[in-house]
Amino acid sequence: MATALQKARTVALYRDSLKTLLSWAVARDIFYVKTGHDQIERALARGEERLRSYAHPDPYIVPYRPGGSLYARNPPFPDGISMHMDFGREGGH
Amino acid sequence: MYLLVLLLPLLASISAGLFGRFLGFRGAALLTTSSVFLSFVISCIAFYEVALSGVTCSIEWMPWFFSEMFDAGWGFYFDSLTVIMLCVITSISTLVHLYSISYMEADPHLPRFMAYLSIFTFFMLMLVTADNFLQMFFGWEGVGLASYLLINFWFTRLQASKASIKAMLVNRVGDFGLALGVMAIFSVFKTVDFYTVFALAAHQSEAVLIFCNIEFHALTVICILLFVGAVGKSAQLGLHTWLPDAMEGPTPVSALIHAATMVTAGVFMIARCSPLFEYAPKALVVVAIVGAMTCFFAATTGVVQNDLKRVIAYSTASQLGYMIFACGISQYTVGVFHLMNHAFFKALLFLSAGSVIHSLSDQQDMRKMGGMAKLLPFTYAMMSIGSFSLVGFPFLTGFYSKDVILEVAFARYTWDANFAYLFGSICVALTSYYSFRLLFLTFIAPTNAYKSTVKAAHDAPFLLALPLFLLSIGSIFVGYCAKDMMIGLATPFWANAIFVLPQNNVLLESEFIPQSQKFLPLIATVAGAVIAYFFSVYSTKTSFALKQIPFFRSLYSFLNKRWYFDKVYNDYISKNTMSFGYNVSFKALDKGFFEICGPTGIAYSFPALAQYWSRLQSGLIYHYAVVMLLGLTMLVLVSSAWSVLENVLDSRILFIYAICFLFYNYYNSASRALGSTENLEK
Repeated sequence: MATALQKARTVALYRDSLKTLLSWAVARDIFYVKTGHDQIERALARGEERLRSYAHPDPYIVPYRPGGSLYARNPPFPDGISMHMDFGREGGH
Repeated sequence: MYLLVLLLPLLASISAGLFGRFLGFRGAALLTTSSVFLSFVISCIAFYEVALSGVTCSIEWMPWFFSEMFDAGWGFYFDSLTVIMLCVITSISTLVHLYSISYMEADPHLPRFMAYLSIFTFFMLMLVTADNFLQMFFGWEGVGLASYLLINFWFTRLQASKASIKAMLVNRVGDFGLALGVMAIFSVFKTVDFYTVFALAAHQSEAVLIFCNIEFHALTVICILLFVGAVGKSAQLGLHTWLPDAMEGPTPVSALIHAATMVTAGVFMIARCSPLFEYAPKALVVVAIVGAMTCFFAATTGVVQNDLKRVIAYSTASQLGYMIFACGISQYTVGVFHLMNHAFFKALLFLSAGSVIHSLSDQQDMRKMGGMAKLLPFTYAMMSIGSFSLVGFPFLTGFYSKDVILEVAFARYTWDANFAYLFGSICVALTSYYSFRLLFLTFIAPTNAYKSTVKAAHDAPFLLALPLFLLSIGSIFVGYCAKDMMIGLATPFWANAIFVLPQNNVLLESEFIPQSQKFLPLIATVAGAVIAYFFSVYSTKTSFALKQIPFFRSLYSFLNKRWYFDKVYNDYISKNTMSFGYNVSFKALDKGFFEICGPTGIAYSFPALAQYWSRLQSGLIYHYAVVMLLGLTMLVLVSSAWSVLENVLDSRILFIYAICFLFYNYYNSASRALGSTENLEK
């Protein structure tokens, strides 16, 4: 897992490389080819495909999130509905 | 007094269910728990009188159906098998009631929950005390209903609703088989009373049932149909899909219904019908094979589950497989013995799991546990006792029944018993693996829990701990104490409750199998435990590396997704059934055929008919004269030729004519209506 600093450095590296490339390749048509948008797109697609192939059949879900074992168990009543008799616990004991 | 066993839970359930608001939390809990406890006390007395003193008791209570040949009353029959079940059901139920008071105290619907638990207990008692198949069917359906209500206890959860409907529907398939079986019994024996049917079983052993002009051996058909019912209720392979999903219910429910009592109804029913099964050897082969396959399937699936309760649920299905195949090789007493032992240690395991879940703020995933042995020492001890008993550690409860099952399977030298023995032996290692994996991942391995969870963790309070403690006593000693009583050689305990043909009894034979075979389960257990330790604690890297290999990854998915049974059922059965329901039965039949023959047809036909007839009144005298002439001629013709015509004219033809008439008029008027609108558009 990348730290926040590593992420910031990655973004900075990419942005700086683009700026440097623009200084070298004055013509826009060369710049567009060299930026490698297509390459990045392909690499991302490959990565997503690989992630899908590793999908866990039974992923961990936090209990109170959708799909978890606590989700939607005894949800609170809508506003405007109040309990008048709480099974003998009206006194809060 | 015996009827009080049934009456008390029923009354408690009605009071807590209908008047829970007046009784309050404590009132409802106290009422239901004490009623079930009283019922347990009376069960113990019944056990002493019926099983130990050998006084079988039969109570004809009330008429129910008395229609010509078909008699079925409300009656109760207490023999050894019944009272054993009574003791198991009421003891586990009492402890689960007690446990629920504390486990569900934060839930706003505790009285409803207690009422459901009690009504379940009542139906289960009804099932085991019935003296005829119809009343047993009543109890059978009743526990299905109670199971539905309890799985759906948190009805605001979509998953719970889905799971409960699934349980209901899958059980319906099995119940259909059981109902057919009961009908077949009636058509062969002309009664549904247990003692008449069982007394006549030998007499009818050669009887045949004719279906579609094919002769079937009646008892084989009956037993297989009854077994279909058992497959549904006891979650055997094919209709097992509901059991793991039923873990959506609160944990005490899983312990009471989906482990200890209701799912064993199938085993009970087979044991109860042992005189029928004994004369249907082919049905017994089916029972043994299906049991062995369930045992293997559930054990392999349990190996890779991550949800704490699901592991135990699959272990339940696997153990049910053991019980069923024990019955399949004619050792019903061993099957029932394992049923009783299993009830104690499985209830202990489930309630301990509930205690873990309770203390970890409802965390159920074993991947987020670990290291709980230090935080929850008492629960750890209880869970260990349950697991050791389950894997058949020597001299604990599970050991006395599980090893005997394997030994009798080995000692019966038929191919189906060999098959069952092979699968059962593999399952011993698998059982040991998943039990110890559960222990290691939850209690021993380094913790993966959230800090907040660990900080809030607390060991079981008294009301949770007491049932665990009592069940642990049962899990240790019950097998040892009851062994000679229930499966000892030539024990008089069962009297007439269970019938085994002399040539099928292999209990003595099993004492003389090679000693190495007797050690095999123990070796397999130790091997499973060592492997579990290796993968879960010692070298988790190896287990991760294995899961990275594509073959093992797909194997993991295959097992984790329960061999894709649910997917196959959904894609090939549910979808087709749904499309049949919509396209054929709703669109073509309900909206098509029945509409045309029914309301729409009439609505179109009669105005058209009226129009047609109104044209007769033309006001011209010669039209009327012609009609009168034709009518008279017709009358004379028909009445003079009636002796010939009455053979040809069948009243049924009139019915066909009526239907054709409706269709004809419907299409005529419909096309006319269509034509007129087209004209209008033009």
